[in-house]
Amino acid sequence: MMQGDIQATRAGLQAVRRKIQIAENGHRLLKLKRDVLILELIAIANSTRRSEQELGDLSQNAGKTLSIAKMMEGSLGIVIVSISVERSPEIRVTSRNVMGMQLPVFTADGVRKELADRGYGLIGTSSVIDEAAEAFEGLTEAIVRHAELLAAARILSAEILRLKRRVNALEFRVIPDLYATREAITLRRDEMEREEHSRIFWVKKRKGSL
Amino acid sequence: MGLRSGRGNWVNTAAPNPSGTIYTCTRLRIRAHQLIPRGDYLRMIHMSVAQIARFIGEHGYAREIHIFPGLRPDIDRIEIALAANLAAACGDVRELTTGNLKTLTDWYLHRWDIVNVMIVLRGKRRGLPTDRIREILVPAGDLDSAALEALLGAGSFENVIAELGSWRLYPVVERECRILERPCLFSELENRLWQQYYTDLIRNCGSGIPGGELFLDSLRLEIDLANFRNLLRLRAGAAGKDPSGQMIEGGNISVDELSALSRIADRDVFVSTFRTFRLHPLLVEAYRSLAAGGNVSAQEAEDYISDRWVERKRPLHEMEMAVARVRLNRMAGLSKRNPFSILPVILYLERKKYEVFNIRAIVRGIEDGVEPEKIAQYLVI
Repeated sequence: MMQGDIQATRAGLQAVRRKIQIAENGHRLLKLKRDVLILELIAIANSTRRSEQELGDLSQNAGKTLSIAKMMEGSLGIVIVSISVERSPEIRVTSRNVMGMQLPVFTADGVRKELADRGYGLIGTSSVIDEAAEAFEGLTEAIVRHAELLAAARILSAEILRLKRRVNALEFRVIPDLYATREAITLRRDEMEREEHSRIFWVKKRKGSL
Repeated sequence: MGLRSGRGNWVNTAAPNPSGTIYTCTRLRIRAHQLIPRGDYLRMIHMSVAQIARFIGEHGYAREIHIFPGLRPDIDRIEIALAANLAAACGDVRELTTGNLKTLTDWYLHRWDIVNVMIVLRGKRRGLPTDRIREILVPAGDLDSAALEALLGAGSFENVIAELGSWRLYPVVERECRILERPCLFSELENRLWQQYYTDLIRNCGSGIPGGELFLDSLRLEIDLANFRNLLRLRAGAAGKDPSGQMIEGGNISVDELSALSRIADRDVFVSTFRTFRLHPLLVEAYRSLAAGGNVSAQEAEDYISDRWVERKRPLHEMEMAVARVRLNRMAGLSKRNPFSILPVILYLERKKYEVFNIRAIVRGIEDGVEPEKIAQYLVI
């Protein structure tokens, strides 16, 4: 099928050939990118599964230590310790490049603290507080890591869907159409050549040269 | 000879009041017997929270627990009621004691002031609602409910500091608050307050007040245990730092000895040093009480402690509770040998404190679904 704005000329044929070349290159590259992103997504999905497992274990452990802390220090004691925190953790968001995609990288600063930096006095508290604080610091770090994986997976899956649509469009619509156009131009040009041939034959015959 | 008490009164230490002391100690010994016994704790760990609320309502907590409108009070409210009961019990003891006994009791109870002042300062700095801060306070010290109310009503953080001007530990607050810009001020302030509290207490007890020497022995043991526990915590959580700034002066083990101990990494050297400490037999006894049947040699207890030391692990919570039990038992023994001294008073106050802590541990444990056997390990009976 010939596209409307393309002339059945040598230049038109060359333009279609160029378009076919570009579309096929684009299709190959997009397919490659899609495959790489799928591999990355699979790796992230595996990491997310492990991270979920780790998160569950850490959460369970943190819950246990908090229960013991509440038993030994009371919830009021826990409130006092929780309001002792002087410096809140900060999450820095940077990015990493995967096939031109910017995937987020979350870096947690000041989550895991040394005993002296947690804000509560050593003399007035017991070790159960240290254990609960440490367990929740570990849990917070795991949550940040998990959030990074989930954000990356979400961005990747959206991009893979977009790429899939574009690859399919190229593969099943754009490239077949261009081939059809090229075919139509070739046929038209062949026909025009045959017509020209015939016209020259009759002109020569009328002049008596044949 | 005179001595200045916590409330600014001069008491005559040269003329103790024996009849008042006998009366007070006898009354407190009777009160100590009325505290919740072991069997009841073991029954309570199998009860529901509502049953516990009703049970403690029938065992000395009626005034605080009956303010709840229903039989299923909120656990936080129970905890507030327990704290209120503890504060009331300490207030009763203050009123009951006279003369030197009162002076020593007041000094002992000043520790609650540090807790309360730190709660108010932290709460104000973090912008907690006044009602929430009020709920956490335990007005069992020198700063009574009215004084704490004045602190709460002071408004800003700076006004609270100014309001503390007449408090006995105000110089420490003033000194530490000059460096407000430095991070983690409150942990430093809290540590300095506790250090100053123990320093003052030891100086006052050693100043010749009758009963002071007896109190001093138990105080030194308390300091040793706190220092050793904190040394293990520091070793596990802040390796390589000099612990001397976090230690309390005045124990049987000096801060220099503790600093030297913190640098020991070799197990044998640690064990040989540890054996020289006066808290060695107490920790061995505590470890024995944890082991089933108690058939544990001193060597095994030393191995346990040295393992935790070498591997930079924190003290086990069960061990901390066992140490508290052994310390209380020893104090009870000393109290029997010195029946008309400060020791029965301190023993009652400690037992009352642990009664409240035990009920709280049971209620919290039940709420979080902790097994009864596990809850029992966290009780100081």
